Amino acid sequence: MIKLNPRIEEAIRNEISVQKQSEDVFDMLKNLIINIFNNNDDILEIEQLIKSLKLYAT
Amino acid sequence: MNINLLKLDFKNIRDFRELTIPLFKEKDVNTPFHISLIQMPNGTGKTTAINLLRSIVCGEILEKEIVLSYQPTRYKCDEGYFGVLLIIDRDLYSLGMHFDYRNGVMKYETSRPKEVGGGKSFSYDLPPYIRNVMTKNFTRLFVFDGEFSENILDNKKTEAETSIKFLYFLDRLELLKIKADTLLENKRKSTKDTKVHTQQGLTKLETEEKKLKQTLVDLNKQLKKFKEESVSTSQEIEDLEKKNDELLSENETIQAEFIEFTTKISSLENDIRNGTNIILNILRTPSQFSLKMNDKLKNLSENMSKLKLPRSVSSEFFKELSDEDECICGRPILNDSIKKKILEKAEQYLAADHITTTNCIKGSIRNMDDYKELSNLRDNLYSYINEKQQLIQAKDLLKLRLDEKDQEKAEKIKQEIIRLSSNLVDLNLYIQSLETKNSAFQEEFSLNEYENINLCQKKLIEKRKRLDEASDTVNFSNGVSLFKKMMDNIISSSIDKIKEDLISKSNTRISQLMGNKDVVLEKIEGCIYVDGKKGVSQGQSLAVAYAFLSTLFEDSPHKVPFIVDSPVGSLDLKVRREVSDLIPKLFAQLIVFIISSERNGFVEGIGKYEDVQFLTIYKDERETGSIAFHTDKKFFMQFHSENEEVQV
Repeated sequence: MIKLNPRIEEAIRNEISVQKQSEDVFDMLKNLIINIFNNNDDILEIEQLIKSLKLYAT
Repeated sequence: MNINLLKLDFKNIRDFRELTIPLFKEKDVNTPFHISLIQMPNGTGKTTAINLLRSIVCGEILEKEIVLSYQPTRYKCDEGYFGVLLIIDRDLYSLGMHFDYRNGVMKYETSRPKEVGGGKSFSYDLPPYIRNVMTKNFTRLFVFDGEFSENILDNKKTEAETSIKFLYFLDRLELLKIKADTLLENKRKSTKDTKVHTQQGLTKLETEEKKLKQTLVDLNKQLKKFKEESVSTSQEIEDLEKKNDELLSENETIQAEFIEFTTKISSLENDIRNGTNIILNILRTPSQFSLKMNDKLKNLSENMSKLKLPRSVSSEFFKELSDEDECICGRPILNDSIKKKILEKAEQYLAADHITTTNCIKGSIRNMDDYKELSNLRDNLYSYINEKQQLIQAKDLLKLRLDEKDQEKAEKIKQEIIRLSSNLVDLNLYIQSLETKNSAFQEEFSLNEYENINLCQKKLIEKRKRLDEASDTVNFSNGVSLFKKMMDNIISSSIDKIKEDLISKSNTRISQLMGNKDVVLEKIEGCIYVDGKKGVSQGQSLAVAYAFLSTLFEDSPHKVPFIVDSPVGSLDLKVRREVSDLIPKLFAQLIVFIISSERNGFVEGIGKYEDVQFLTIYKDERETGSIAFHTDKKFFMQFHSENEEVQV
């Protein structure tokens, strides 16, 4: 199984912080990325993550 | 994952009638040489070997044109084969490509060790964790030619940065963006009736919904106002009629007749009300007002009795019976065909709920009232109405016997009643227009959502549904945009962070290998930039490029052999020495394809290492398709092809 490179995890963590997203979103995104690295991703997982993103008015 | 290449097999591939290139040691067949130098003159098949290696390790399906390009041209044959023997984490795998030149197709063959299922399969069948990694782009990172390493240094190319993306699988994050777009597209298709996918469209829909909401409030206010006006107008008419009656009742000459008429009219109104109710009750029961309907229902009831419907036995009884081992008659239900027959017959019987409904229908028909002749009732009702009208006219004519002054008063009252009645008719029409749910009425008066409460409510519900769908789609669309933006930021930030690490680790490696810090990897921006205190030679740059590539794989969990074609190309002797001195230190298994003119300088450096095999492969011109193969170092060093120009 392909593991997540610590530098990529750091980049995910940083982006979650910049976009003011929750810890749950971080976990979902991290899992999704690990799964796509291992060709094991699920479209429902992506949909769930998108729906969980907090949208701020711009 | 640790991969080593142990053997290459060619059969009827271009000029190779049959050739095996062993890369393992004789004493230990499962261990490859650290360095295999394969000297092949130009035109012998170096590029063919490199291309086939790239394809076979990632299981690439080759197109017809490419398949046919491997068909030997110097002799006739219909089939070819290229195979490799790999050792992956101590397990031996054999991968083969079978070429069918008649049809221009190829197929894979994999032999797997017993530990992972064993046997031979006629497909590219490496374990999933290997297949997952061995993409075409990944393969390009370790099976490459001199051009690739030069591209890493070329500031017009982006090979270095692209390699980072592939090796760390960041290219797969781009796939996530595509998948998110697909999701959005599907969502839009599923809500295609809405056709609103943008913030602007959503705002427009919200405005429309707001307008309808306000319209509904306004229409209800209007209805309330009209109803109040209607009540007050009715009251006014009633008061005026009372006043009219008072005028007549107070006049002594006509008082008696007025009372008589009024009493009769009141009595007739009662008769009309009762008669109407009786007729309406009959009309609610078809069997009572239609002789035809009555006869048909009776006929149905008789038929049901004749057919003994509903049957007392329900289909459930037979379905349950089919599950039993024995029939109610005691005979065994032996096999599936009997069960099937019972189930088929069960279909002829009604289900329990159908039986209840049928019984209900039968009971209702049995207890229905007899047909009643409506014409008498109808005629009576008409006569009451006519009589009432006549009495009203007669009552009205009483006014003529009033004195002039009272007549004038009565006329004024009459005119006012007419005016108010007309207003009342209009008001009631408005009220009906506002609150009717009758679609025929709505159509007749061409009513729309701004005139009728029911239509407005329907439109509002529809608009809210669209708004909900649109708002869902627009929110999802915004979510997808944010998701893609986050992916872009994560990819770019990851690459930056990985680059920092790679530069630092590559420089440590370069300084250890070269024994000084004169040359450093300065930055990676598309390609790699090399900087040196005393200037940078071409060889040093190339050495840094190889150091960069080996560092790329250092952090990777995948250890792969490095297979290079013409690693030093047309470099001068000094550069060749520098490169040959360095690259064996970078890779655990190094397979180098070279031509005799590249030997000078390069092989001298490599020759310092112990674990090296020297192979020379060339066409044996004495026999078409025959290949000569030598493993002798002396032969290797002395071999010279007439086709190659000495470049150094």
